[in-house]
Amino acid sequence: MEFTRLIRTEVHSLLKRREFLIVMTINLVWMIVPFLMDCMKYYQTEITYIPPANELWVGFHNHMGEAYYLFLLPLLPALVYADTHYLNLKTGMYKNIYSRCRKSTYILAKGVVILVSGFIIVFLPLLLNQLLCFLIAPLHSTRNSLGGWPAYTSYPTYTLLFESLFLRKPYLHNFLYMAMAGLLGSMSALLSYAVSFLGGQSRLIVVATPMIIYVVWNFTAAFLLGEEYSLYAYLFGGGVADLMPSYFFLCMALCLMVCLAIIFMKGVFKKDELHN
Amino acid sequence: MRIHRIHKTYFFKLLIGIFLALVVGGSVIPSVSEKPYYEYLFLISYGGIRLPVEDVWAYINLLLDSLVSQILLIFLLANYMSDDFSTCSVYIFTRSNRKGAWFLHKCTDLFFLVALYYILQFAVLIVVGRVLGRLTISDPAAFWHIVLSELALLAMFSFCYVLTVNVLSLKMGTHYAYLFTVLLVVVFSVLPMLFQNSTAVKFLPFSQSMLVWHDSKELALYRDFVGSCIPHFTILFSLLYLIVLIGILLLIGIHLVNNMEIMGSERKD
Repeated sequence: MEFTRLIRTEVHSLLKRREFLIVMTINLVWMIVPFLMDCMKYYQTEITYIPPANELWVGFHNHMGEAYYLFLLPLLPALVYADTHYLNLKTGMYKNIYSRCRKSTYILAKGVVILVSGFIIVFLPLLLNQLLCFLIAPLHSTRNSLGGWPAYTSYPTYTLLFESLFLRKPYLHNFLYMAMAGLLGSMSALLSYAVSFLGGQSRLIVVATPMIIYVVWNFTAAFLLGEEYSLYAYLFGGGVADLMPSYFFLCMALCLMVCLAIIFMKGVFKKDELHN
Repeated sequence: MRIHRIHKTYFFKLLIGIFLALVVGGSVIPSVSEKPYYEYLFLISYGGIRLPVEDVWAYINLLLDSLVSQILLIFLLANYMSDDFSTCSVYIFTRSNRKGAWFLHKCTDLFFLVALYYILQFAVLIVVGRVLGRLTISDPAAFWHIVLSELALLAMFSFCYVLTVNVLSLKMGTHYAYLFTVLLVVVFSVLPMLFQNSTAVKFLPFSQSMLVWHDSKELALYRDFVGSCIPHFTILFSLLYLIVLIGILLLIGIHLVNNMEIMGSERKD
C-alpha cells in the first residue's frame, strides 16, 4: 500500500519536473526534424521511389537517428529524474522523507519510477516518429526493387538481427527496436540513480556517468574488438553483420544487476543517521 | 606559474585521454603497415574522415573518432569555472578590480589544459607508432605541418566547446550546460553530412577541425590515402574562423561575468 502511494507521488513529481519537460521537448524535436527533412526530400516524388514507412523511421537509417543513438540516448534519460536522489541527499530532504516512510520502500519506488521514466522518454518520441512516417510514406513500397535488389526481397536482410521478423512484420520489427532503445534508456537512468548512492560526487557526474561509460565502451569496442561488441550497433534497425542478440541482452542484464547491487548495498541495506 | 594555479586533479583527469590515444593508435597501426610513416598515422587518427562520406559506417566512425575525445574533454573540464565560482566567488570578486580579469585567467588555464590534453594524446600516439608499428618520419616538413595543424585546429575547436560549457555553467548549472553543449556537439556533427555536397560545408564549425578536408598543398601527397578536400578551404581560414569564434565566446563570457550576481547565486548543482 505504501509502495503504491509512493509510486503515485513519485510519478506526480516526475511529471511536474522541469527536466522531464525539457528532455521530452528535446527528444520530440529531435524526432520531428528528420520527419520534416524527409517531407522536403520526398515532396512531389514519384510514389514508387518513396521508401516504406518502416524504412523511413529515424531508427532505421538516418544520420540524426545515428547521432541520437551514439551520444544522446544515454544522457537524456539520466537527466529526467535519476538525479533526484542525489538532490535529496545534498539538500537534506531525505531526512523528511525517511522519517515519513520506510527507507527501503522509498528507494525501490523511486527506482521503479526512474526505470520507467527512462524507457518512456526514449520510446515515445521514437514511436511518434514512426507514426509521423505513416503520413508521408506508404506501408509497403516497390522502391527497393527499383534499386536493383531482387524483387522477392524488400531490403538486403542478411545483416538484420531479427531477419524473419523484419520480413514478416516490419512494423513489429521497428517496435522491437524502439523497445530495445527504451531498455537502454531505462538502464542508463537506473545507472545514474545507482551512481547517486556512491556519494561525494557532483550532479554532473551523476547524470553524465552512463553516457561516458556507454560512449567510451562503444569507442573501445568499435576500434579494438569489432562493431558487434558495440552496444549502439544493436539499436539501428538497418542492421549490422555478425550481431549476437544474446550479447545485447546480457549487457543489459549485467547492468541491471550491477545497479541493483549498488542500490541495495549502498541504499536499502545501509544504515544512516536516522536508522541507527 | 600557471601550472601551480591549476588544481592538480585536472592534470590527472586529462590522463584519461591517454587511454583514447592508445585505443586509436592500436587500431590504426595495422592500416599503415604498407606505408609505415608517422604522417599517415596522424592523418588517420586525428586528421578526420575521408571525403565524401559514403556509407553509414563511415559516418559513425567519424562520430566516434572525432567526437568521443571532445565529449570526454567537455565532461572533464565542465566544472572548472563553476567549482571556483561556487567556493570562492566572493573573495575573487571583492579583491579583484575587474571581474573580467578572473574570467580571462580561467580561460587561459582552460586553453592550456585543452592543449595539454591533445599534446599528451599525440605523444602517446608517437610512442605507440614506434613500439607497435616501428614507424618513422618520411618528410619532416610535412610531419610537423600535419602535427601542428592538427594540434592547433583540434585544440582551438575543442576549446570553443569547453568555453561554452563553462560559460553556460555559470548561468544555468553544470548539468544543463553539459546537456546543451553535447547537443551542440551532436548537431554540429550532423550538419556536414546534410550539407555534404554544398560549399556551405566549409563554413560549418565542425568542418574546421577536419584537417583532411582542407585544401593544402602539403597534404597533396597523401590525397590518395585521406580522400578529397573542399576546394579553397584553407587551414588559415579555419584558424581565423576559430579565433573569431573564441573571441565571440570570450566577449559573451565577460559580459555574463560582469553582470553576474555574486551573492546568493544558488545554482542547482
